Amino acid sequence: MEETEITKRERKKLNREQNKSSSPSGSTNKLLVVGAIIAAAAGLFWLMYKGGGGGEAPVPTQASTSPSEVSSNDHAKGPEDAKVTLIEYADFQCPACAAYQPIVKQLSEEFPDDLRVVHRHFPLRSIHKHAQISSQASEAAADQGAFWEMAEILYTRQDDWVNVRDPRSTFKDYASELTLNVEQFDKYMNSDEAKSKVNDSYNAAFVMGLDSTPTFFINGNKIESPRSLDEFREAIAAEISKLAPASPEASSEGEIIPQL
Amino acid sequence: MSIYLYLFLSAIGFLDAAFLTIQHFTRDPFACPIFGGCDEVTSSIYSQVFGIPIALFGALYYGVIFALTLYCYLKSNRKLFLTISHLSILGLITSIYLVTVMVFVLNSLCFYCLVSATSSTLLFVIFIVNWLTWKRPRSQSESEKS
Repeated sequence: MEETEITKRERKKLNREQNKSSSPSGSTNKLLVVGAIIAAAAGLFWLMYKGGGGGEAPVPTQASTSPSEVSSNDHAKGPEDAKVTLIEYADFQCPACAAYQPIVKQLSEEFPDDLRVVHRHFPLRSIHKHAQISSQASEAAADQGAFWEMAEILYTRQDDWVNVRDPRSTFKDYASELTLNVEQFDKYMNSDEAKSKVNDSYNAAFVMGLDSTPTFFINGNKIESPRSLDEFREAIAAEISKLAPASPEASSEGEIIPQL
Repeated sequence: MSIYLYLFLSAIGFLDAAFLTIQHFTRDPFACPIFGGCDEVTSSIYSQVFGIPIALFGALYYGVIFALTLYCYLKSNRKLFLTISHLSILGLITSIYLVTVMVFVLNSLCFYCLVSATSSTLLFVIFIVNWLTWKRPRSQSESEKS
């Protein structure tokens, strides 16, 4: 025991002496070595970043960042030439979005000729576990032409799947309920295509600076989420009436011009 | 040799985690090599603890390892180095957990997250190798003496 104590002490002493002897020029050498290591690490990281296509932003998505223009990738319901376009950025796991679902549905029934409703994915993944996969499920339904049907089920039965560990089997049940091809549905729900569609939409919403769901745009103007169906109806009716008299006025103006 | 690798790996880990932390806050859609799952992983519910991004913890962890290793290197203190390299157990456990979440829960892989997992794992491997080679000669010499 004593012997080892002595050897330990001796070793320490030796170490110290070695340190002292190497310290004058050694410390600058060491700093150089550290510098080289940091440079190598930074270099390697930079190579990985550049090699991976870093810097160049990923393809600025096919999803529209415009809150007024509707693209062919969007899920839209209602006539293309509708006077009012209502774009909703929503997340199927968001309780408020679920609360708005019947209101929005009611509105599109009340204004069948004048209102076009568009859904865009904004899955709040950082607070909702199943936001992403539920959006992918809606894409899988859209693949078979049943987006709105699936969206309605996802919203109305939100409580049934939000607390499930893996809601995919529940979504498959919904798909079979809608008489979709379940196998195809499952495959699409998990596909990269569905993922990237949802991600594109998420990124676009993020780039626009949106931070909550649901966010509604009426003809490109962001509106404070109306508190009731009545308020919503008024907002849309106001928009329609704002546009409706525009055409006779324009024609009367047209008559004025030749007089000048 | 292992101390150089420690400096190198913890520097890589630090840069990587710092990059992910910045991305977490700016949410700039960024290029994501090979697997393409960065956005989903870095914005998922698992990417933060009490509202603090895990990447920030990662950056702190690597930063601390780097600083302590640097201290040991400059002071030529091998023993302290062995002590502080026990920290790598923490990194390994965290990495195993996070990779499990990526593979089995999120079903998406994120390149930069895997870089961090790899450097954590390597730090642990070096620690084990170091620990074994440090123990062996000492116990041998002790047994020889007795």
